[in-house]
Order: sequence, then structure tokens, then C-alpha cells
Amino acid sequence: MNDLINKMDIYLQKELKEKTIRILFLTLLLFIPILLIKAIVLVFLSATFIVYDIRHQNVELLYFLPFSKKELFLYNLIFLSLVVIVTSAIGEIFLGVPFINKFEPILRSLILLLAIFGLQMAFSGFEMDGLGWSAFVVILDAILGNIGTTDINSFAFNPYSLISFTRQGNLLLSLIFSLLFCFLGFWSYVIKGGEN
Amino acid sequence: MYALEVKNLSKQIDGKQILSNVSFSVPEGEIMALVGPNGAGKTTTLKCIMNAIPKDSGGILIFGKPFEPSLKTNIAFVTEHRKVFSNLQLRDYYKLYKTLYPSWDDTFFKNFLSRYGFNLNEEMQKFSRGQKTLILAILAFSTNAKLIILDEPTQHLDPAARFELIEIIKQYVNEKKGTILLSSHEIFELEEYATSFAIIKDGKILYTDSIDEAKQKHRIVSLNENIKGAKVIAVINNEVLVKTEEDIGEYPRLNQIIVGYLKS
Repeated sequence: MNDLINKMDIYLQKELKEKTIRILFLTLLLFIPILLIKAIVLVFLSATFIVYDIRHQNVELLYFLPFSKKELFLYNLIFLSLVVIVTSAIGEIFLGVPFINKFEPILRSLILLLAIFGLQMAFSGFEMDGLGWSAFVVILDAILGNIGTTDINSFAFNPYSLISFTRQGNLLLSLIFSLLFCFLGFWSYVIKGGEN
Repeated sequence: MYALEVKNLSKQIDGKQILSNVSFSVPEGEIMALVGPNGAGKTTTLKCIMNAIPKDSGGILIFGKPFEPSLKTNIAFVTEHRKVFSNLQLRDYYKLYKTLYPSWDDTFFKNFLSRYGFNLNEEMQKFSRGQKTLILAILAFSTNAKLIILDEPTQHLDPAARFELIEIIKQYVNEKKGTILLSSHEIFELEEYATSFAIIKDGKILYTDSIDEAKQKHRIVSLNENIKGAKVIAVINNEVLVKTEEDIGEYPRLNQIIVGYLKS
């Protein structure tokens, strides 16, 4: 367990030192409590880590070191999740809403992250541009998700709005949808990438 | 026991067949050179061994086991282009390697650091290509990994540094009983330190053997000499490289065997 933490620590130190300004700037933007802005920022923040290395063909430097693709996937996801939780939680502390309701914005941000990171890793695994294609899917999701309403009894009911990770009409369904993207990313990058 | 066995390795990139049924093995304690022209598939083979790019088919056994990421703590790799992480100092690289490789040899690393006067606070990117080659090689040898893979290790090195690196390679195998797989263009210096070799061209292995065995099995004969029963490999200037069990002509040098197969 200690080895695992040391390994993750040294990897993150490398990432933070390599991309300091970009990570700091995007992390500050994550404090803005508007879901759509968070989605845009997360597309760029998530693409700053391993996706950046894949796009710029630097990732092989990591593969030649004792890192597995599975570890790299998890280190990125864990670190990004921590950033999302902390930035969302700090914003919530100052809002006078009931304690239980403070978790909702954190969960909403996590849903966004899981979907965006999953998409980027999935596209990267298929040797497609993780940043460009994930941005396209986020825009598509925002358009499709925002058509009609989430009210099942309404004439304009749009079932997609319930699972859309940007609209998040239903928290549980959009969480499941995001987890599916995340698993797709894991499968495409880790399993299809030659690690069982 | 083999440190590495590559069996029928094939790989296509963008529809182009880069490797086609590549097979060779590296016994433990040997220095094997993968030799071939540019674009022959040397680097792709090395990348497939590390699973840096997934293979299409074939098998790779490392210390008798199919590749799994945990085996990488026993493999150190030096890349061809000496690419390094940006904004990282030599100190960061030292910490990175020390953390990732459990058998890290701190004394070995620090001895070389002081011998060459490298500054730990210097950014890796700012070193010259030759310096980067040397630093990355020293980092690799300090890991004490059982298998070290070096892609064109002596490229961009001045003669003194090249001599030093060759000595480290020999010392690592003789004293630490490690195994080395390296790719090289420098066919004239290979005989000095390699123990076996594989010739690769257009993604195919043309010939693989130990250097001693290869010399035993080949002869250089003049054009008008009787070579009945011998297999002609190639004509090199006014001489012919043949594969034979007969005691004819002269024993070839390693570079003659390599050139012969590459011309065949």
C-alpha cells in the first residue's frame, strides 16, 4: 500500500511540476459554481494530464517506466476527483443550504468528471484526439440534453435529458451513464491497450 | 534461462506492416544487439516488448513470463530520441527512478554524477543530447534492473563517453550478471561488447545467433574460390559471404556478416 501511494505521489509530482501554470489556472476556474462552466473547464483540465501526454506523444516516457496503464488511469481519475471534490466543497461551505444538500453540487461535478475523463480516455484508446472528440461529445450532450423537459408527464419530455451528464435530469441515471463512459474509457485505454 | 523471448511478433501501423513474425531470444547474462537500417523495425520491437504500443500478434516472454506491468521494475529502458519530461530537473528524475525501482543503487548513481560533474538542479531539457544519453543510461544502470533495453545507446556520444558507456555495459553484465538488449546502427563497434545479435530488415529477422557461432558458421571467400555445398549469402565487393560447415576461406568479421545479410 505504501509503495502504491509513493508511486502515485511521484507521478503526481511529475505532472504538477511539468504543467504547473495550466493546472493552477484551470483549478481556479473550477471554483465557479455553474455546471456548464465546470463542464468546459473539466474538458481542458482532464486533458491536461495523461490525455495531454498521449496527444503530444510523450506518454511512452511513462510506459518505459514501471507504471501500468491501469495505474496511470487510476492516478489521473483519483487526482481529478480530489480536485473536483475540493473545489466544489469549498464553494458549498459558504452557501447556507442544509448539510445534505451540500453534497449535490459535488456529486454533479463528479458526474461531469467521470463522463468527460471516461470519454477522453476512450477516444485516446482508439487513437483519436481525446480533447477534440470529448469536446464535441460534451457539446452534443448539452444540445441533446437541453431539448424539451425532464418531466415525464410533459408533452415535451426528453428521456435523454434524464441521463445527460451536462443536464443531469435525474442524478442517479446520469451517474450511471457517466460511470458507463468511465468504464468505456478504462476498457479502451487499459484492456484494449494490452493490459488484462 | 532466457531473459527475453520474442516469438512471431507482428505489428501494423497505419496499415503498414512494420513487424512480421519477429522472433529472437536473449539468454540471461548476454548482450544482444538488434541491428538493422533505419525503419527496419528495431524501435517498434523494443516498444512492443515494453507494451508501449500493443502488438497485433505473437508472444513476448520476460524471464519466462508473459508481459505484465509489474515486470517493469526489473526492466530499464533508454529511448532513442532521449526525450525527457519538460520542466523536470535531474533531481526530479533521480527521485522518480529511486522511487520506482526497488533495487536502486544510490552509490553507483552518485559516483557517476560526481565523475561527470552533473548538477542535480539542472533542468533535464537543458542538457545536450550527448549528456542526456549519458544521464539516461546512468539512471538505467543505477536501477539494477535485470534487463536493460537501450535504443541506440552510443549515438551522439563523444569518443570518451562512448568508451565509458561500453565499459559500463560490459561491467553490468560481467559483475551484476544482468542482461542487455540494445539496438544499434554502429556495426563496427558491436563486436567489442555484444555477445549475440539479430539482424532485422523490413520488419523481418534475417539472422540471429551468438557472435561466436555466427563466425563459425560463415566464411568469406574470394569470387573465384570453389564454394560447392556452401550457401551464398551475399557478394561484398570482391568477396563472397557464405554459410558453410566446410573449412574454406576466412572467418568473417561481425560487420561483414551483418552487411552480407542486409545486402542479401
